[in-house]
Amino acid sequence: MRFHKSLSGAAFALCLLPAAGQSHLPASPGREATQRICGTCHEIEAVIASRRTRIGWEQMTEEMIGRGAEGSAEEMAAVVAYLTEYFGKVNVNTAPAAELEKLLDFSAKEAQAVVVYRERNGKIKDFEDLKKVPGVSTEKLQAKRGLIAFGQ
Amino acid sequence: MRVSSIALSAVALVGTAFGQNDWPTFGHDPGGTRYSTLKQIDAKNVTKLVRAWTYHMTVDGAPVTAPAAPGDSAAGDAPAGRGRGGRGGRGGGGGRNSEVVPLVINGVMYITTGYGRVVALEPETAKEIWTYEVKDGAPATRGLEYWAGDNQSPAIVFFGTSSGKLYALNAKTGKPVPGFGNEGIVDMKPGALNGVANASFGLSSPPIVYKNVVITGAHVQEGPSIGAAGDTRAWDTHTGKLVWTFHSVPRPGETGSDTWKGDDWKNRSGANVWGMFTIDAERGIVYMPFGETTSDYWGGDRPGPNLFGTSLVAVDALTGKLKWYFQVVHHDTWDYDLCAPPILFDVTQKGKKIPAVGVLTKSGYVYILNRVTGEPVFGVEERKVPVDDALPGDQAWPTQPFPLKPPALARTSFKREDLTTVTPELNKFCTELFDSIPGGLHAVGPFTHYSTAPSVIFPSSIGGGNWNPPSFDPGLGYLFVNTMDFGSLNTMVRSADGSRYSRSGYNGINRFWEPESNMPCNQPPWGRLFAINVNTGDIAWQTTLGISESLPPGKQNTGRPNIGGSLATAGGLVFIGATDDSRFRAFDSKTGKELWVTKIDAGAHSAPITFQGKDGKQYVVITATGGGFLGDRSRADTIIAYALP
Repeated sequence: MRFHKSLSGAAFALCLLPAAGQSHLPASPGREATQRICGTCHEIEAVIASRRTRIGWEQMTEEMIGRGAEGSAEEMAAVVAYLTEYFGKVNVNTAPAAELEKLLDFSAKEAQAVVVYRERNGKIKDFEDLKKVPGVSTEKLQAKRGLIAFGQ
Repeated sequence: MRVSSIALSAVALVGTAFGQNDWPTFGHDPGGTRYSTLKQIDAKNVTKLVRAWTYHMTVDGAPVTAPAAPGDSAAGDAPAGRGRGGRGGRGGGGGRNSEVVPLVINGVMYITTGYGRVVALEPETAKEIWTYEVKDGAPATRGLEYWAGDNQSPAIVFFGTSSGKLYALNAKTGKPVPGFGNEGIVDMKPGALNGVANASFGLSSPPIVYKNVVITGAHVQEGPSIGAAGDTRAWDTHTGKLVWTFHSVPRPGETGSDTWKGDDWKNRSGANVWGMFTIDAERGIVYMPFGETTSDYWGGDRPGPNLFGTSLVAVDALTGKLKWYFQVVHHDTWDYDLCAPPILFDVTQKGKKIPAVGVLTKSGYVYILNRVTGEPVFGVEERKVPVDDALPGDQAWPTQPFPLKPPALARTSFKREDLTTVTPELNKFCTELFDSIPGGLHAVGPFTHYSTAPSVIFPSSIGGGNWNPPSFDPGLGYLFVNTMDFGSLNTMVRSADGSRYSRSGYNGINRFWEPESNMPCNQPPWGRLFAINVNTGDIAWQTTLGISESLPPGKQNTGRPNIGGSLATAGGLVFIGATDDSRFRAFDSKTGKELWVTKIDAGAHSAPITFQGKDGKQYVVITATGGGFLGDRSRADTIIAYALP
């Protein structure tokens, strides 16, 4: 088909994202609440179209409550946890080393290098800045770029 | 002459019945001109404006009026005064977006908050007069409507909620009006749910009152196809009894039903006025900007043009009887909802006055139509648009209506050579993004479809224009509109059962930008403010609106993505927030020169108002909470007032 362009070999390919052409919501606690509460007004694919940090998802959920999303405090917490787990981003300026390892597929040494770098040099400003961290694979960073945040 | 006498009396109506010193309805007057004759603040003294007060929607505390300190505005004005807030929230910054446009009538300001309250304030001090807590759903984010009442009913404040209730509060006391509906509340869900018990139905914008009816739109789902109806309805202002219903998806035998096939119309959601109505009070016509039909990006189950989706429709305000309609996007699969309030003005051509209505679109145009007949004033042409890239099973409509004038007010297509070069880093990111699939991202000119390949669509699903209320200066004949030059980046994915497609992102992004810095991937401008000469249809002036502070000096003047509207005054000024750079600005209405800018607590995704206080001062007021659909990371809970010292 003319518009089924292949995504293989794409510079931006990310292993955590569903392949194009499928809708994908991993089965896990929180999925039901997410589908029910967010899916009342929009299709769930639109909700997860953008990745966000935990704070980003908290703010989005809070905002949607202001626009009428309805659920208990526990349900809303489950929604935030679920979206952060599967559609989250990592703030490289605040994430603990363990989280960098887990979510960005860093070695322990790479994760530690990021922590040391930001402690010494202050806030990592942007992607170009992050690439200056000694000992971190640029290729790995490029592959995970869509998961990396520099602020809230 | 009949035409000119009507025009004159319409002007007189704006000047007298709708108070030169107040702001009595969302658009200032029923025609939505957002023009105030106040001129204490003018082009010469606007730089002296200072913050008069700040009202916090969340924070408890005694109201304090800010001391006026001249000269602080250029460098930004520190939050100062403080009003009492509503319930909940995280305190401090607050977390919920509010787009409320306050009303001011007879010395009282009325607002809805993002925190469940409706509040009456002293407009000169932000001191609370009364508060009402909505326990069921959120009060409409864009505000409320005022009705002066009569010998049967008190003056009433009407507003809707996210839970589908229409409230009538006594404007004086803030208590529900017992004779209206059930103890002051009408449940609007019955008759609207199309048999889908848990369907989403509410109001996010204010209703509008004409004589003894209060007219309501609907906030319904974007998808899937079956859900609550987007019908417009009118209710008796005294009793809350239903007066008329306009079927936004026509039923068999009704005008427009031939734009649907078979039973596709049945229980169809969308086609709703989630934005603002406008009324020609002289002629008793209500103008309804309808959003698109469901599903937003997939039309495979609705072949045909799909009236009254993405159409401007004029009906008799007292009966709901159709007068005319104009569809802006046929068979819309771009989410190009009409949502901005239509704005009424007169066009003078060859010495003749034409009563006109202008409507700003997400698709990036302003359509100027004769408001009595619906005929385009400057011509409209059906032009061929892409059909080959439509989703499998969707029958794209082969043409779309393009206005001959004014020209497109936002970028409507994208090519690789349009990639931004504003900084080498951004150019690198955007180039890699564009080239990340062989042949580049899918983009084939205006009305490119959202396809199964990652697609770049200009304008984006949030516009172009959005619900941005325009303003109009009758002296100049200028219409002021703001737009953004901003793209969507999406991939359409097939549902698990294969029956439909839904919009997803591409690599965690759903806008065509660098998502950490919010820098668009197209060359600037990224946001603009225009003055359109309505008598010629030409652009009188245009300017970038907003700055990109994180860019190097000399490159910051890009304009910024913006949602919100403007205010025009007889002082020769156009006030506007709207941008994501947390600033509030005033422009010279004649030239477009930026005369005043002040840093504010957060992005003001709302529209400013002005009024004259009991103290004789002219105030300008804007809601600034950040958040919203621009990905604005700023957050506050504030409504801010400015005045001369």
